[in-house]
Amino acid sequence: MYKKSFVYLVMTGILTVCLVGIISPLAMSKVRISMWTAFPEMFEFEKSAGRRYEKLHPNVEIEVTLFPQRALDEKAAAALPAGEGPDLIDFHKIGVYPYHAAGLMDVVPSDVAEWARENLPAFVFNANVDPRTNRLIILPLYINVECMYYNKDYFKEAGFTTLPEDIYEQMMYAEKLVKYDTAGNVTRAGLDLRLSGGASGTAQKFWTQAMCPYGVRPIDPVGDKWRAGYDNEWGQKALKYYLDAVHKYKVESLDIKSDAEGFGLGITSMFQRESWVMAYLRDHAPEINYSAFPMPKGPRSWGGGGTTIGLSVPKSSVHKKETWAFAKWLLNDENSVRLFCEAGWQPIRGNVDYSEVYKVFPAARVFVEVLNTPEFKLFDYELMPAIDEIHTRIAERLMVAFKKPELLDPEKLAKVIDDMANETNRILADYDLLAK
Amino acid sequence: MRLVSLSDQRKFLSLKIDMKRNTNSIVKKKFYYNWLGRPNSLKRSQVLFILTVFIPLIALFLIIRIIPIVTVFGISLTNLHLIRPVTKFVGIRNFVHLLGDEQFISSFFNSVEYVVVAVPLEIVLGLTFALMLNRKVKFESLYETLYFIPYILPMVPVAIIWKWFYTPGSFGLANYLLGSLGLPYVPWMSNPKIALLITIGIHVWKNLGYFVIIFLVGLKNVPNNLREASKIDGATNWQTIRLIELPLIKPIILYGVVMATVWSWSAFTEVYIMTQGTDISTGAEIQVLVYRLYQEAFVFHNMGRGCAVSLVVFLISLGIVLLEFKILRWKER
Amino acid sequence: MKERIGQTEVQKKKISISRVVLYVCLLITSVTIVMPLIWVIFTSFKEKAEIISIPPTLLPRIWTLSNYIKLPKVAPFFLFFLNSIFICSVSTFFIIFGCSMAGYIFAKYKFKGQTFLFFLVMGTILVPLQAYLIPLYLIVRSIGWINTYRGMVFPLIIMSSGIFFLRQNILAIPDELIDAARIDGCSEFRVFWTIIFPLSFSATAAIAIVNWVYTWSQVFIWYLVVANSEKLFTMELGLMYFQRNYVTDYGGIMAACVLCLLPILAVFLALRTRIIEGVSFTGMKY
Repeated sequence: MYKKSFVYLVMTGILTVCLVGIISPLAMSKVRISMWTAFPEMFEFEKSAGRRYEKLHPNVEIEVTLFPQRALDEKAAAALPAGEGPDLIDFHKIGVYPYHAAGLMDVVPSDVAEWARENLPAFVFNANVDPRTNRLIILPLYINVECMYYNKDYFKEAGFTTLPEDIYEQMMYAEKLVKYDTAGNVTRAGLDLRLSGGASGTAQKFWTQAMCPYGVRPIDPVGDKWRAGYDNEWGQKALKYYLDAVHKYKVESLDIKSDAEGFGLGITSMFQRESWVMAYLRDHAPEINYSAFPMPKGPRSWGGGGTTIGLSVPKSSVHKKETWAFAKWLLNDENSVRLFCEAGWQPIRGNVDYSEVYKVFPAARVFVEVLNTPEFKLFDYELMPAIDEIHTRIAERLMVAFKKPELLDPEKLAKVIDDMANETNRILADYDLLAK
Repeated sequence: MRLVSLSDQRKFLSLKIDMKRNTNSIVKKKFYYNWLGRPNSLKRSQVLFILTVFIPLIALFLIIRIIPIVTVFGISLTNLHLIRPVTKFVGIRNFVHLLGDEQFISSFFNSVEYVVVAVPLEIVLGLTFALMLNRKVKFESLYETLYFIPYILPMVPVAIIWKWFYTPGSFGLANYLLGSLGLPYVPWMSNPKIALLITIGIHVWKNLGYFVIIFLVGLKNVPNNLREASKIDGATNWQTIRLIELPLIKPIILYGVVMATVWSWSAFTEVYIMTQGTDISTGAEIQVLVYRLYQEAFVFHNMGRGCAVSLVVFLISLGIVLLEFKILRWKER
Repeated sequence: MKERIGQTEVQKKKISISRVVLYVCLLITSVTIVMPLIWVIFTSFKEKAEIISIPPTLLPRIWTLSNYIKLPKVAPFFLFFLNSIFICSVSTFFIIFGCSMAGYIFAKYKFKGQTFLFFLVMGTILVPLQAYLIPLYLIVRSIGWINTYRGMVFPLIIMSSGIFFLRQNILAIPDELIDAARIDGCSEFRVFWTIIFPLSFSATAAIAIVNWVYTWSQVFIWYLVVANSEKLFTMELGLMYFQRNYVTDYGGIMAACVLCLLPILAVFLALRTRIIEGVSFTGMKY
């Protein structure tokens, strides 16, 4: 008896080993691609795209994980230097650039980069090329073009038949659209501006809304270094635009809910934001009758923000070729349309037929047109490590400045801009990037 | 029958012969036990206990508390950055930078304001409610419970709720209440002074129950005969309170003041929640020191400067606590 | 006889004005303090239109559970709840045994450096976590415990004030009792388990309760900094991150807040006296 069970044991053992030996090569041959993303809407889109890709390529398995907002930043900071990152990261360029500078990321392979050069808008391609190595460092997937949303009912009520073309007209429209109550408080803002909020968003919106029309930007490249770019009368005029809106013409108030929420509640008439607001309004405020127009022109230039967010592959990734193939596949025509419809973010490609999208989101047409208009100068954030800190510091100072009506006095205004620029330069000096 | 086998007998015999041989020729050796002591002795048992329990605990204590506190000093003198690969010693550059940083200075004063407003409010209100509850009130435990509930709640939902309460314009409940009384709306979020005060209000609301309870317990411990004796002597209620009860709970008041100070100085969560959000938020003016610490270290990834801020938080917290011990102990005389 | 009856008549309770004022004050203040909670609970059952209507109503006209029903779709709140419970339980477990054993050693043992170590422990009682957060984070990061349960629980397994408190408590246990047990042949572990632990149980329970409340409600910054993936979020953290999905949905966010508050509130109402005792006594024995 003892001998019989022993034989059975040995036979089972051999059988198991054989089975494992047969199955594991099959399992091993599956290519696993893990992907991290920071935005819930992109997460849903990428998950479903992953499933479709798996059907097309049965030997590939795609796993997408969502790390909301700051979490992706921190997670990358912890995992990438230790070589434990994912195969593919969906993150914005300035978040990924420090890891590039530290040599932890793979550059886009030349065939994919060539395809990108042909199919993506020129400024996008150029903005994502590392000036030192002249290689594309991130494969842009979607873009944050800012346009002005406006409430069509309120515009009709005020008797407007055309849309504002420059910033002065915009202020005039705002003055007609604003509504007050008996105590003089603003109950409906004519022009909604981002006056407060966490982190650096306030500075970035300020850049598009006010700095851009006056032709300035937070930092200017000087050779291979940088310097604060708004330390002049145009920077002061940019801040004055906001202060005028809040304190002189009183078309906006600090006490009104702003952003998509304010617009969805019907207490603002126009505001600047990216394309995802359309999905938000569809879900939360379908009764609002809205459309969009491009950012108005300014006395010195016409343009707005267009930061790109894209896909990058760390050096620690195992199947780089398959990962880049999947990344490139995510940018094809069908996926671009799906991205727009499902996630609401605007895909990077301008040369795709988006008529499917226009049926769901008619205002999307404006966003795509802006992307394809060469006169409209889209800017992207600069490729340098201190950008987040610079924007956050500017945002903090701006938030303080917006609350002070006494800054309508030009001398005080000049001092505020001066202090802000000194701080920006100091941060640059800390990183040894200040131009002399 | 012999019980022992022949082979065993032979073994014993040879052993006996061996032993006899040995005892004749060698000197009696001294037998030492190793450092653990006799087996089953008290010493061994105690040493084992310490080894398996105390040493790991102390090691953990050192790693979790002492080493971090000490290395804060060290790191604040470097430019340690989470992503930059090379760290170098930079001396007091971080501190110099902080002193020149307007936002840091304003955060500092915000923290000071936090302590100056929150601590007296918590202590005075806590004492008041505790004294009220100490008067043989019916349903005392119900009131105790109601006061104490905010203390055990997590801060994040609490801050979100209060933020919603203070929404500016006509959407906020606070403004609605003011409006229904005929008073004008208050710019809760857009006026930084008011915004800081409402944040401190959230902090006080949440912690008040703790102080009510500890003062109440202290008051209950005052022997009843003292109170009755003073009544017989003809003292009014207020005199009894002032001259008998308050001095007797002095140590508890000291403890309360110290705790309140440490908590207000290191407040973070409520400030974090109030300054986030794109639709409405208080903006950057109400930032406190610990928020700045978080921002420098975990947003900008600048650990060196973050530790410099931590050092300021730690040293001043220590200083205030020592000061309070001195002042309130002195009064005891 | 008559006089005595007269005296007892006079001693009948007088309801004085000051009493009335006292009761009114207490009632008003306690209701004001609890009012926000009550408001939130009612709001979470209202429909969206009613929430933003003016004038606002206290009780919902239409009671609806829709805010709660859509909660799981937004975020896995049950997972967050389990995470919170797990972390708090593990931390409290370590505290119960660690602090009482350490308290026993500090109270009843004599060895070199004991007073120094004890003063060290005492000195760290008043140091808030925020003061040494950064090096702690760096240490946990270097052992690779960021974004793991181990990392989240790590600093919560030591409680200096717990050690202090239990030492004071165990000092009161008579030495003769312990010696008697030792003479009877108990090992130190048995002495601890059968004598010290039961006798100091009320103090240990107080510490455990305080620690539970602390890790549930008052540690936020550490979880914020360590937990980077959704699977590890505690309820507070989950609520904060998923606020974004709720931008105009007041009902939804109030329901999420209520969900976050409910567990600790339920525990509190059940163990009310024990919790209040525990929290107050740990402050008293100085």
